[in-house]
Amino acid sequence: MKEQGTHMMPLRPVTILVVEDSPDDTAILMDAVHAARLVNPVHFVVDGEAALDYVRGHGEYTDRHRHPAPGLVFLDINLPKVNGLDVLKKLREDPATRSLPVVMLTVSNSDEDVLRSYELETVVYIQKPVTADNLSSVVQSLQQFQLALVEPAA
Amino acid sequence: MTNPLSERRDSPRVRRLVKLLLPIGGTDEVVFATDVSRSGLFLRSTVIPRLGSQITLLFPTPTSRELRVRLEGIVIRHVRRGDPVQPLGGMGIQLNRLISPRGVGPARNAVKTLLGDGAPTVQGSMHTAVVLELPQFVNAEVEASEIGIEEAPIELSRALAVNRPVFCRWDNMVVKATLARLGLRQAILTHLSMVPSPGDNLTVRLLSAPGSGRPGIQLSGHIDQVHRDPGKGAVVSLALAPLKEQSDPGGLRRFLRAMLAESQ
Repeated sequence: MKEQGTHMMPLRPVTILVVEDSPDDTAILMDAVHAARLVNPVHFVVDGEAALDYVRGHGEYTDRHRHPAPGLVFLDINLPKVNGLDVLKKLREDPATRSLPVVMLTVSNSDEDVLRSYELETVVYIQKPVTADNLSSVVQSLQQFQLALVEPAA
Repeated sequence: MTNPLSERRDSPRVRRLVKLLLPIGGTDEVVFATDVSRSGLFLRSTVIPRLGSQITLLFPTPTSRELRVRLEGIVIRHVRRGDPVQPLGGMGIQLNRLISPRGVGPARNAVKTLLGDGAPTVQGSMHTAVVLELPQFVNAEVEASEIGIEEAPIELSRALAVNRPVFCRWDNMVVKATLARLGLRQAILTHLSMVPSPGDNLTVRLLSAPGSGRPGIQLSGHIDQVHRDPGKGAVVSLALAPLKEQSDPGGLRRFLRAMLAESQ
């Protein structure tokens, strides 16, 4: 579509970062991504320290062509090196990542984990295994409430 | 299929067809009240205000609007066109007040028009404005037995304002929301970042607030209406399971009593 005097920029889906240390849960999540037919690129890291480096573009993740900045993060609570809640806390402390939508993944059903996640402004808390419906619901809901999951192409 | 209004009606209904006016958007829309009970009615209307909206309905006479009897209530249910019980669609209204500027005479006529021969007696002044708090007509015995207190908790025929954060669980997802209003049969939730679908079963947990003395509660039901508000996120009406089927009926009773006490 093009209006006179304006230029409509093509949109591209944002990158989703999955932070998950369990190979089984990673495989389940990949199946869910395929089943949900998400067009978003999905990148994986396996611990909390790598998650922070990826989001900030540090260490081995400085090349943003290979490791594009994420627009949505699926974050397991139980992670090696830095646990998920601490990762979330650090993301919220940094003005550059304060508004990054984060979905917490866990096997836990404890009130404490749920409360803490929401104090740190998670979008939603999902008890594993993650399903295709979960992913579709998250993506759809975030789009409806104007947390943009598409960005103009460079 | 059951009547979408039957499980939440507090008192017997009568089949009527009463013409009323719904002032909205600067005009008076003609609407028809059907299925009238002492606490509410079903309104056939092509104009459907949002769930939770406060509305006013006018009786069509007399000519001078200021003198007309009016009803005040809340939109608690939407019914789509094509519904097997209400095929023309419309909305369920929980009535709160009837106001008669010209005294008890027109109020009696209005109540009789709405409820027919089963209309209750209306007392009041012949010469000054009369305001009837309509929950007075609700069958109070039902509510009293539900929460085990002697006095009729007529305020529970309408959902009380709560406005507390809760956690909503459906399927394997937990989402934070605000419990905006709570009654015996219905809860209104706002500010959900994820949107459940009508028919989804939802469990709502309100955790106890430390130091508040207020207990936490858990309640469950199914989603019967969803709409999206740019300012409030998803707004959801939850049709609650009967009190005795809740996982913690004692906790819910205590919570409702506490809220009732706060509201008085």
